[in-house]
Amino acid sequence: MVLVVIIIALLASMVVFSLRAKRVVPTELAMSRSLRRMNNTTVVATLAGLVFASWAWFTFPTAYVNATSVPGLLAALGPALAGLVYLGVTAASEGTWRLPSGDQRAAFLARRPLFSRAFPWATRALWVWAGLLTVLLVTFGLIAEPDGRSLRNAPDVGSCLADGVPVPCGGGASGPFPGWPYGVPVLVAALLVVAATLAVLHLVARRPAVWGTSATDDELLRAISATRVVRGAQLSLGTSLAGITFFAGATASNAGWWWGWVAIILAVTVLGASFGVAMRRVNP
Amino acid sequence: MSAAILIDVTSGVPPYEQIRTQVASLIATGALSAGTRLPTVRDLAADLGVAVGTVVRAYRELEAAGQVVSRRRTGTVVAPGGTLGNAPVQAAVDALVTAARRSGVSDDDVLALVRGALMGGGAPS
Repeated sequence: MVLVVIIIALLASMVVFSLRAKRVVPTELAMSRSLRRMNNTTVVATLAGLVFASWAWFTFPTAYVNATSVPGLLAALGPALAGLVYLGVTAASEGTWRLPSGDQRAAFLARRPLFSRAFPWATRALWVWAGLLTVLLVTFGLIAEPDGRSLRNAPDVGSCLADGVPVPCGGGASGPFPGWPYGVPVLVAALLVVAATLAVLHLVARRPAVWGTSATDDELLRAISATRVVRGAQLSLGTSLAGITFFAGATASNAGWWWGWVAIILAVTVLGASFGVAMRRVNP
Repeated sequence: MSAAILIDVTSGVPPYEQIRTQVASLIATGALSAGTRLPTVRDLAADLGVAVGTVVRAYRELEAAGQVVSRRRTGTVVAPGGTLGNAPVQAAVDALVTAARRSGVSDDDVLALVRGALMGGGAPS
C-alpha cells in the first residue's frame, strides 16, 4: 500500500512538473485563467487514471485473476480501463466550461471542426499504438494454439517450458500467450478508448469560446486541451500494447522462438516512447 | 484573422437582429468573403450564450436576403455577390471611419451623420 502511494506521488509530481516547467505566463487574464483551469483538469484526470492503474496493477493479476472466465483477462484490460477513467474525468470537466453570462458577449465567426485537433506528435503516437496493437493481437490470435492461451514450442530447441514445467520441445506448448480469448476483449477495449478519445475531442471542439481571447488563442487553447486528451489515450494504448507484447515475447522466448526477444525489446521501447509522449510538455 | 461579432443582451435591439446586422455588415464590407463557412447554429449559440432559435432566426433572415446559403453538407456559407463591391465607396467609408476614430466621434454620431447625409443627398438612384 505504501508502495502504491509512493508511485502515485512520484507520477503526480512528474505531471505537475511537466505542466509547470517552462510555462510562459500569458499576458491576457482570460488566457492564463483558461490555462490554469486546463492544468487542474489534467492533474485531476491524471491522478484518477493513475490511482485506478495502480489499483489495477496490484489487484487485477492477484485478487481478481479469476474474476473472468479467462484467467488474467482483467489485468490485460487494466491499461485500457485506466485510459477510460482518464477520458471520463476529462469529458466531465469539458462539460463544465463557463457559459457566457455578461451583458456583452462575443463570438468568432469561424467554423470549428468536428473534432479538435491535437498536436501531430500526440496524434501520430495514438494511431501508431492503435495500429500496432491491432496487428499484433490479430497475429498472436492466429499463431496461438487452439486453446488461445498458449504457443506451440519451437521444434528445434532442446528443452522448453510450459507453465514453468520442462517439456520436450516440438510437442508441447508454452503459456500464457495472448490469443483470441485475450485479444478480442483487448481489441474491443482499445476501440472504446479510441471512440472515447474522439468523443472528448468533439466536446473540446464544441465548448464555448473563451471570452477575452483572440480567435488564434482560442484555437491554441483547444489544441492544448486536445493534445492532453490524446496524450493520455496514447499512454493507455501504449501500455496495453507493451504489456501484451511483453507477455507474448516472454512466452515465445521460453518456447524457443527467435522473435521472443524482439517482442520484449519492442515492448520496452513502446513503453518508453509512450511515457515520453505522455510527459512531453504541452504549453503555449 | 477571424471576424467576430458582439451582442449586448440589454440592448433594445433583439439579439437575432444584432447577429443578423453584424454578419450582414461583415459580408458587405468583404470581411466575410463568399464561400466562408459560418459557425454552426449550436456553436454560435453556445459562444454567445443565447438560444439556438435566436441564431436560427438570424441565419434564416440572412438566407432570405440572399447573403448566405444553407446546405446540408457544408452548413451555412456566405453567398457569392453579398459584398457590395464598390471600391470607391468602400474606400470612402473606411476613410470616414478612420477620421471619426481619430476625432473621437462616437459610432452613433457617425451613423447619424451618414443618415443625415443620405437624407439630404437627393433621391436614391
